[in-house]
This record gives sequence, C-alpha cells and structure tokens, in this order.
Amino acid sequence: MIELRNVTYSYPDSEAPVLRDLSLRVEEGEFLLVIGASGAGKSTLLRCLNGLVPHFYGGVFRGEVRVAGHDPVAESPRGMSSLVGFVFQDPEAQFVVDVVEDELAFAMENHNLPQSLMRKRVEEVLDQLDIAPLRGRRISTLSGGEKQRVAIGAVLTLQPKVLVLDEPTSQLDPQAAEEVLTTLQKLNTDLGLTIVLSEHRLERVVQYADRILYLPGGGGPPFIGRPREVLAQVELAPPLARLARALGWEPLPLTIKEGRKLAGRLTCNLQPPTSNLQLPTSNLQPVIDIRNLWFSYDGCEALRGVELTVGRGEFVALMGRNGSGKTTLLKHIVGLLHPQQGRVELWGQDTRRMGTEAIVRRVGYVPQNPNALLFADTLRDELDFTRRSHGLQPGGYDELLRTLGMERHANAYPRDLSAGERQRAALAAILVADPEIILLDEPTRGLDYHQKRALADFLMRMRDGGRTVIIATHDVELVARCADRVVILGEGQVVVDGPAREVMTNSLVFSSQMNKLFRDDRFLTVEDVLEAVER
Amino acid sequence: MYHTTTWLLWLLAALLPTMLTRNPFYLIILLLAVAVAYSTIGRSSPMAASWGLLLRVGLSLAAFSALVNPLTVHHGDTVLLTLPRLSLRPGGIILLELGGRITLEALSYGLVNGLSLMAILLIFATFNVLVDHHQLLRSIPAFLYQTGVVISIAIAFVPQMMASLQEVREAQTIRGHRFRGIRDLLPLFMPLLTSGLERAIQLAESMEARGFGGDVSHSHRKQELAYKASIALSLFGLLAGMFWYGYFPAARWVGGSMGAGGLLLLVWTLRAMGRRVGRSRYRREMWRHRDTLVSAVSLLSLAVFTLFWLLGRRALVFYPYPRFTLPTFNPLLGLASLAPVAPVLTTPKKGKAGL
Repeated sequence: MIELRNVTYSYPDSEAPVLRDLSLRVEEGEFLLVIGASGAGKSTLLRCLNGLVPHFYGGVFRGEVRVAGHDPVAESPRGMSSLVGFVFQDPEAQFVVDVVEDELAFAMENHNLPQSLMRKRVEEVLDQLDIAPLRGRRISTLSGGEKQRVAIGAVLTLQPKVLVLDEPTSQLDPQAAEEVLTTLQKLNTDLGLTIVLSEHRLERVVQYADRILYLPGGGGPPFIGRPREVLAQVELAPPLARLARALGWEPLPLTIKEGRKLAGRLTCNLQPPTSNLQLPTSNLQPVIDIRNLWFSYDGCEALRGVELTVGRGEFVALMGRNGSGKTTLLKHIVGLLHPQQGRVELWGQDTRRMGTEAIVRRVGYVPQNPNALLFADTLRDELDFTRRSHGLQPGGYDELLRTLGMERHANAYPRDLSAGERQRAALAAILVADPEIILLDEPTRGLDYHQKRALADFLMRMRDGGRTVIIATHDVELVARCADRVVILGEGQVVVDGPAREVMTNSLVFSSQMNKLFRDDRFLTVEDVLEAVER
Repeated sequence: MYHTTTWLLWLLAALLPTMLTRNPFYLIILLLAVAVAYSTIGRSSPMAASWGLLLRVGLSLAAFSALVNPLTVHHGDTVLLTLPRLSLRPGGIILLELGGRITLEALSYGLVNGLSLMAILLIFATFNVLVDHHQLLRSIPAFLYQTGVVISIAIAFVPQMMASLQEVREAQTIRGHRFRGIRDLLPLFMPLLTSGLERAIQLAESMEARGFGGDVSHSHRKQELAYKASIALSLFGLLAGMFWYGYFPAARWVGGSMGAGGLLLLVWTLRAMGRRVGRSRYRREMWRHRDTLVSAVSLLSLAVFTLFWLLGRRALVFYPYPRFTLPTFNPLLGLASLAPVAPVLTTPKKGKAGL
C-alpha cells in the first residue's frame, strides 16, 4: 500500500536532513505506529505520504514514495486527497466551516461529487464514527474528542485508502483519547483501512498497532518491527515495557492483562517500599488557602465552592476531565482571576488585596501554551525580560538552564525550538524569577518519555528546595512519579483530595500502569517495584 | 427558515425606501416593520448578540444627527429659540457656526436624516441576524468561491485572535510585564503574530490535504486568452456605453444598448469561467411556498416605490425648508413600507407543524 525508497529530505534553510535514506513498506490494512523523540521527523514522514512534504514546505527531497501506486510528489496533496486522509494534531485549527455536517461535506465538494452521493457518504460516516447526534452542531461547541472524530470523518467521506494521523490525541484528556483510538481501531478492523499514526504516549496505543516504526532522530538508523521487538529495544518505552525489560519477562507484555499473569508470580516475594505513605500536610505551614471559591464565565459555572489548602513544600497534582476547572483554579491562585464568591489567600493575605504585581513576584505560572509567552530573539533575552520586569538584575540563570538541559539553546530563537524545548523555555522564563509557588498547566504536552522524566526530576528538586509545586495534568505516569498529593476536580468541585498513593490506587482512569498491574498502593512507578524486588 | 434569495429580495425591498424617500412617515413604518421582523424571528439566531449593539449605535447616530443639524444649519423661518453663537470664520468666510437661531425646519430635517441612517443600520443588522451566512457564501458565483471561503475564514479569525490576545496578555502579566510605552507592545504583538501565522498554516495544510482549490481542469492557453479578451471587450463596451449615454443625449438608446451588451457579455464570461471550477454543493436550499409569498411582497414593494419615483416623485420628497409643512402621506406607499414585516406573517407559529 505504501512504499518509501531511500527518502532523504531536508527543510529549507537547514543543512541536516530530517529523514535520511529512509525505506519503508506498509501492507494494505496495516496499523503502523510511528514513534520517536520530538524532532525526530515523525510529522515530516507522515507528510511525505500525501505530498505536503515537499509541496507545502519546499526543501530538498530525494527518493521515491508510492501510495496505492500513486506518487505524492508528482500528484501534489490535492491530487492525493482522495487516497490519503490526513488528520492533524490540533483539533481547533483544521476546520473550515462551522457546522459538523458541512465540514464532512467540504472535501467532497472540492472533488465535485454529485449531491446524492455526498448525502449517502455523510450518512455512512456519521454512523461509522458514531457522531450522528452531532450532525447539526457548531464545531466550536464540541469537546476535544468529538472534534477529532469529526476531523477523521471529514477525511473519510472521500473514502481514502490510507488514514494518516499526526499525534491526534496529544491535546486530549485520557477519556477523549480513548474515544478516538477505539474509533481508529474499529476503522482498521472493520473497513481494513490502512492507518499510520504518530503518538507520544505509547501506553495508549501499542496494543492496537501491528508494527512500530522507531525514528531515533539525529541521523540514527530507523527501526521497524512488531511492537514486542521494538519495545524490547528502544529507549522510549511505556512503564510496563520498562519493567518487563528490567525483570527479563518473555514475551514482552503489551497490555496490562498480559502483564498481570507475570506480575502475579512476582507479588508474593515483594517487600513494601520504604517511602512513607503519609501526607505531612498537617504540620506544614499553609501558603495557599482557598475557601468556598465560586467562579463562572458568562453564566457558565467553572468553580463551585472549591476548598483547598496547600502547605509549603508540597507537590500537588490537579487532575480531572477537560473543563473541570483546573486552569480556572490555577488562574485564581496567580491572581489573574478574582473570586466571585469566597476567597483565595496566599501567605495569609487575600489575593484581591495583594495586586497582581505583588503576586507574580512570588508565584510563577506556566500556561498551557508556551507560545503565548515567547517573543524575544533569543532564550537569553527572554529570561532577561522576565528578570527586568520583576525588577531583578539580568543574568545569573546558567544554573537553571543547565538543570533544564537548555544551556545549548541559550542563544537560539525560542520559536525554532521543538515542542518539548519550547515547553522548557517557557518554564525557564517563569522560573528565572525564582518564585516560591510554581504552577504548571499541562506541562507534558508533546514531551517524550525522556523529557517527562527530566521535568519530573527537576520539579522534585524544586519541591525539595522548599518550593510549592502544583501541576494541572492528565498525565497519570507523571503524577505517579512525582506528586505527593492528588486533587481531582469534577464539574468545578473538589471530588477527591488525598495522598497520591491512595487516590491513584484502584481507579479506572487515574491509576498508573504499575498500579493497575499489581493493584497495590505500594507500587505506582517502575522504580517502586524494582526497589521492592531488589531487597 | 427562508431561502437566501428571499432574504436578498427582502433586503432590497427594505433598503430602497431609505434611498428614495425622506418622508418620516414611511421611514417610521419601515423601522417598525424591521424591528418586528427581528423581534419575532431573529431573536433565536446565534448572531442575535450583535443586534443590540447595532441598535444602540443606530440610536446614537440618529440622536447625533438630530442635534447637530439644528446647531449648525440656521435656515428656515420658524425659530424655536436663539442660543449664544459660536463661530469659526478664518478670513471672514464663515466656516462653521454653532448655536444661534435654532429652527424647527433644521431640527426636523436632522431628525429625518437620523431616522434614515438608523433605518439603514437596522436593516443590515436584521439581515445579518436572519440570513444564514454560510448559505449566503455558497450562493455567490463559483468563480468567486475561493474568495468567499477566504472571507469566511478571515471572519472566523477575528474571535480567535481576540482569544489569543487574552491568552498572551495573561501570560505576559504573570511575567511581570506592564504596559508603559510603545516598546512594551512587542511582548504582546510577537506571540500573537506568530501563533496566528502558525494557525493559518495549519488550516491551509488541512484544506490542501482535503483537495481545496480543487480540480480546475487544465484549460488550454488559447481558451484562457479568449476569456481575457472577452472580459476586456465587455468592460470596454460597458464604459463606452456609459460615456455615450452621458454625452450624446440625442441617441441614448445606442449608449444604453452598448452598456447592456457589455454587461451581458461580462456576466456570461464570468459564468463560463466559474463552470471550470469543478465543485459541487452539498446543500441545496429549499424554496418553500412562503418564500414565494415573501418574495412577491418584496417585489411589489420595490415596484411601488420605483413607480412613484419615476412618475410622481413629489409624494416621496420631504423638504422642510424654508417653512415647515407636514409631510404628505400616501396609503399605498405606507403599505409598501410595511413589506419587511412579511416574513413574520408567513412564518409558521411554534407548536404548529412546520411547512
């Protein structure tokens, strides 16, 4: 179905090729997962399949691509649009018209299909993807998962032979991601559609993939094989695969179900780990005190009587579905929003009386989208800007850049950095003012396993240095690794609040892979298990 | 609801009186008819939020006109009161005179002008609320289709930009950014620009990957040339016709037919060019019985006003100077001014089965 022969490609204005001498064969009906560190060329490879590379981006392209016998380089993305359906990462930015049904018809209209055929296909797609109830809705009113399913529907109406998806779930909460992935699996098994998908959070998708293509980046040779073969070798592996490798389990389990059989034999010899399960909250001096906080946007209630006290040196994870009020709560702590009812106190002072300037000097907030922050010509200028804005001397942040692994990029143009690097650049731009409270909103979007681990280690060091850290995230593995306490919001209320180990045990959504594997509150991370095995 | 063509006719029928008459009776009837049309069928539309704003703008425009006219124009015989005068006369020429004699004539003329301005605003506001924008876009000719899509995307871009701006402003505030001078715009402007561009590129990719810009069948060079020549010829005909019409009043029919010929040729060429863009339409609008009714009423109203304008222009004129007289009222014109209320009467009531 897809064949690449010796493809080498470099973007304009860059010497090093992103793809080097890549050859690949994908059979009809196959589900191929593309993984690799950020910046390794995953998106570039996917865009070769419908000709967006090189047609849209320019640059130097060598080699040969064939998709269902057609040459994307010769036929251009438009010509390929009836063969290759392409779904993009950001559910917001790919829609043209504003009603679901019209969006589904857009591609067919471009292809001049007769009206009767369009009607038939729209009905089919609505049923296939289970989105019939959404047909008359405005796209802006849909949830993230619904948007991505509509985006898939919008390319399926042309009945393509191949469906290509560029990190379609990276901006979704776990439940919405699950919706999208099961839809894809159904399309793959029921219709025999060939699917090529790139993804960072492997634990979600490895079970659906027939094969995995690993792009190491930096010019290393790519590696392709069955999921078990690839996961046994690559650095980027989900927790279950890492544990299996450390313990030498054969064959490598891909799903929790497969892993449980092997874990069962292990459990009896395990000793409890030494880390304490108690929360030291009671004896911590409180820095954030939120009482009966209510807030609504234009009559839509976002927070409904939130009560929360956070002590100095605590590491709190704020979890919950999209729209449950996590971001609104963080914005209240940093004083961007003021309570409509109730109060928020920092160090015993009401935020309404403190003034934003006084708050931001001591509270650092890294918003979801690092692009909203970065504007300067170099990362160094970016950090100096923050320090000057706070009335501090510029400079003196080499240590910070080193810890974040960003010292190489100090003079780089921040917008040219990869997603993970930009995230850390934004983090540096906030932390350079040395805030006492650190708030992070979805810090792991687009980060691979290495970068996540580095971020977690860094945040734990900050906590150990006496800072208070609060992260709003969907990333269960990150929370398992570094949070002391988990607060789950639901519809603007605190639903659960407790020690991470307690909250993350025996939950369908909020448990880590290790916890699901052992069903034991002593084990949240691979390290917990390995520590117990060694002793 | 109604067919887009019906709404376009409605718009024409409502606008024409504001162009042809200054008679306050007809204007008031028209305003009321439009307001009723809005409040009964427009309120449920998602665009209704803009109506209130436009209403306020219209009211303040009317009030402004009604105030400024009597303050600056001092003609008319009926003096209501005399205010202290404030004049601007560089070199003896009176440029502007504020205050002084306030006349009933100037006041009434200002009011009528304000009324007509407000009517135009409200008509467009109501049309904006009632019509389906995407249908409106779809009904533009095929050769303009791409322009139409670009416009609709540009319209959608504005609220997105506002949301981005808010996000950027918050992000910079928490970095301690304060707005002190023009240099401080940079931290706001750069992220806004780059994220806007990134968004635009993503959308362009998504449209390209779904075949937008489509199958323009590769036409031959000769054909292309023929189209261009045809457009040039039609434009020439149009201009020459207008020139002739103006300068040789003895043989107006020559100029008129040249102009009409040019126009016809232009329309035909553009249609032929549009047909090359292979593009089908998913939605076909339904023409219902009530569309016929509303269109008929609109056409009738248009006909009445045009006839009066051609034959008995005096019935439409209201000119209060030099001495105020009450404007005349012709029942037929009054009835014609009521035309914009037609969609209200033919819309099925809620609860009844829809047509």
